[in-house]
Amino acid sequence: MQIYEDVVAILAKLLDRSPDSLDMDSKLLGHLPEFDSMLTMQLLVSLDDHFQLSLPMAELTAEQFVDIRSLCDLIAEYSFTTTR
Amino acid sequence: MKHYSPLSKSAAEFMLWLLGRLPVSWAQALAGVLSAAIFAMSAKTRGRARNNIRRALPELDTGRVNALARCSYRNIVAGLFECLHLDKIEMEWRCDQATLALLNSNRALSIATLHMGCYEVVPLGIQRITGRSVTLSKLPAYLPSAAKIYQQAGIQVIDKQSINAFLKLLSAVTEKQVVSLHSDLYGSDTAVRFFDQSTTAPAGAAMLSAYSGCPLLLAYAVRISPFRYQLHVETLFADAVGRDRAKIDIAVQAIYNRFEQIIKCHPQQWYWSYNRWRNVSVPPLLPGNERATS
Repeated sequence: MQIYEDVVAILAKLLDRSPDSLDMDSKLLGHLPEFDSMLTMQLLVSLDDHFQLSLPMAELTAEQFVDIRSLCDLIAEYSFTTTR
Repeated sequence: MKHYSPLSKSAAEFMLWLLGRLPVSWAQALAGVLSAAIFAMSAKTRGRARNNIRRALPELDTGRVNALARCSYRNIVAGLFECLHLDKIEMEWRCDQATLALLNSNRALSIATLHMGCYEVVPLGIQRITGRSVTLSKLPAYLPSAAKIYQQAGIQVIDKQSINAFLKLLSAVTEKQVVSLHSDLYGSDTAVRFFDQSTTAPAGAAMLSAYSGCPLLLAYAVRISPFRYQLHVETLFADAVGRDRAKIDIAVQAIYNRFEQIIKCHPQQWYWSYNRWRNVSVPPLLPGNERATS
């Protein structure tokens, strides 16, 4: 749940939206016009900084950025991988 | 995405196959005839070329604008035909020792380039010297075999239209590839001044440098004769671009400042086929010794 709240806060700031307007099923990459390469990079930098992780770029896919649920799954998966 | 009938795809594939098998001298002659014919018949092509030149170089009179537009279009069509024979392209290198050391360093590099001559000469040259060249291109849906042109030259091409194109580019730089991106086209990432006018630009090359921590280079290819190019590579940021937005903006402006100088040195080679300054009105034509043709 903490990952979800933090991801929503980061995305709300980057998208200049209210956190209340976002939920688990909010669509991102391929659906929001403002979710472009610049926003993708800013999001990756923010996730790296906030969660203290370095995402494995070679393994990332578009599907992992398609909505907030998939993004949270990615972070949870990678956090588990790095802490176990 | 637009869909094409199997017949139109086959026709396009056949044309590509045929053009790729023409003797080089025939291809050159055909490029000359085609560019002259298209330029004469297509008001849209002529108008876009002329308008970009007028916005960049408003001091030129009508005759000079027309001559430059015609010449740059001829160069770009010739370059397009040369793309079909990448193995026959010869190039002379121009870079300083520090840049050469970076190219030989086995580090990831991000390279900003611009639309001059044969669009793919920069990734080709980078492939020949580093063996790990990656580029981004809008691969036409009606021409699936276009990717083979890159593959045969050893260049890894990422389709610009794929949803995860930027993730693939990020993946490439984290795997120590050398990524060349055309950066002079219109894009919405960041605001820049270009030829003393406000516009917006793509920031991909600067962003790759910022995210991966790799140096940011600039490269351009000057067509000096058929199938012969001079490839210039320069280091813009040896220590990578900073990750925050303001530093990325500064880096893109630095790229554009250099683009301006290069275009002023080689105005007959720069051709961008769409309106580069969408938010700026075209300045009035200055009188010249040749009539306006569109």
